[in-house]
Amino acid sequence: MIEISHLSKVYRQGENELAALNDVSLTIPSGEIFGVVGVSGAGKSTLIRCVNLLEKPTSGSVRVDGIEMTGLKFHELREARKKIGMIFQHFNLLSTRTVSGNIAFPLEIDGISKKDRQEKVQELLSLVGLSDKADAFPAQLSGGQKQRVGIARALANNPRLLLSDEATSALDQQNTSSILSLLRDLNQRLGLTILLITHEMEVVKQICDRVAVLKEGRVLETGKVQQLISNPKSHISQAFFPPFEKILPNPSTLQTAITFIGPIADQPVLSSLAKKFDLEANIIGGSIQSISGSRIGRLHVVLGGQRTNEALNYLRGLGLLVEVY
Amino acid sequence: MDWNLWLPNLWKATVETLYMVGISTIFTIILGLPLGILLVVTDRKGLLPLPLLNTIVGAIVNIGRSLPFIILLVVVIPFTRLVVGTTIGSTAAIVPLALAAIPFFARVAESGLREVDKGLVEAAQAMGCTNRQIISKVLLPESMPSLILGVALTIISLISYSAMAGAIGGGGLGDLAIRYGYQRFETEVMIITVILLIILVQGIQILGNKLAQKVSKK
Repeated sequence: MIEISHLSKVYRQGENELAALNDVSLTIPSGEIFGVVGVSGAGKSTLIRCVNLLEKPTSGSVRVDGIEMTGLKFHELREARKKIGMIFQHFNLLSTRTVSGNIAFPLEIDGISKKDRQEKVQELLSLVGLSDKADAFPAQLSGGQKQRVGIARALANNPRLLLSDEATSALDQQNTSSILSLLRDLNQRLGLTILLITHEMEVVKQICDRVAVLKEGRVLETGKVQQLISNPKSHISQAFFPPFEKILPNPSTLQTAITFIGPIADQPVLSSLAKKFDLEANIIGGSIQSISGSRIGRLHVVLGGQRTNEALNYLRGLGLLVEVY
Repeated sequence: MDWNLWLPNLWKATVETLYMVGISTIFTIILGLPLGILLVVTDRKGLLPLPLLNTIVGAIVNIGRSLPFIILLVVVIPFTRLVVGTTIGSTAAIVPLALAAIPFFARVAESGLREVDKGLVEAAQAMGCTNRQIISKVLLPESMPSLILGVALTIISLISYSAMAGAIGGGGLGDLAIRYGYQRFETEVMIITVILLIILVQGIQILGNKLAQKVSKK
């Protein structure tokens, strides 16, 4: 869906040059929710704006649905933008238009007749669950409702791609969750590809299929969320499961970090392990999280006994990730 | 004070003031608003950055604003003759009044347009709007409350300028106050004209506030 290759963006301020993006290459597959995470100033915002050319890249290429965006003439670019929806952190709704008026805006720009506009607006209102707010002005809505209007507006031209610029960052926990499930729902029902940028790991955890970690304009790592999380060395994994502190060494015990992925996280692996190999298994830390519908746990376990090595092999045989330190 | 004598005079002066201010306001908006839009759009960070044009227009606007009105009134006499064919009377006063108010309103409109959240412009661009659509469908409607207040402010300035229109025989309330109230010591005339001017200014401001509030949905 999106092919970003060797993308760079340099801002010049007099003598100084600031590279907001440095040789970024990413592939966002069709139908997926792709998250770009990073602290503020990492270049996320510039990256997402380079996709619809709100920012002009200094070098490199951006292809959306096979179309090279950087090579388009202004009127071609406008047509291409109509097929890419975008939602924003601060919603960016027109304060002088009603909810309906805001949603109709892109249709109006496109020269759609009034009758067709009304029909489409009705359809979009019910899609985002705001049919009763059609005549309200943005100032009368909550943050979550405003973002729903933003989403409806972004979908007005039936785009196949939605860009989400920190869409939940200005929302509270509850609204964040409901907007994220709406996005997930739209992704599944309409086959909508979503590229989102966020600084909240929670967003990645809840809805992203794939993720890229951006730092100082470079991609540190990218891949499927599940795979990255199950690799304890990845930034994503470390963000979810902070590294365990090493406790005082005891020569007769083994300190391990065990990562459980999927259904096995629900099974009594440790207690059966203790019985089977006659071990003392002491859990001193860890957590189990639900990540895009699947459970992943990471436990800090101290094993004591004669047959610890056998036990470790047994765990690995079960498909668990075991690190010893 | 003989009311039968003064009432027609006061009425005539009021009509002259309304005429001068009204017509010059219309021209001020027609010419000042596009100028304000031009200043915003051609700005370095605007929709269509044209720094040279922006600097030139900005400088012209500043020159227009730095001339004291009473001087402008005289300086533009040849231009006034060219435009309206006469250099005295209420109609002749409209030309310098509009010329003084255009740069003033251009700056007021500029600041109102600049208040529009950059995010709205960005959202419109992301939707594939042309610059013209951004101006007509985003910048103008969103800054409408500020623009309305700006028009009220400009009208009030024009009322105050129009008091000097007497210098070229423009008439009006201010002129009446100076000629009769001040120069001929007719204190009552002075007081009545001042009261009328206060009512006029208050009325415009209240109307402006009401209208601005009505169009603002924030």
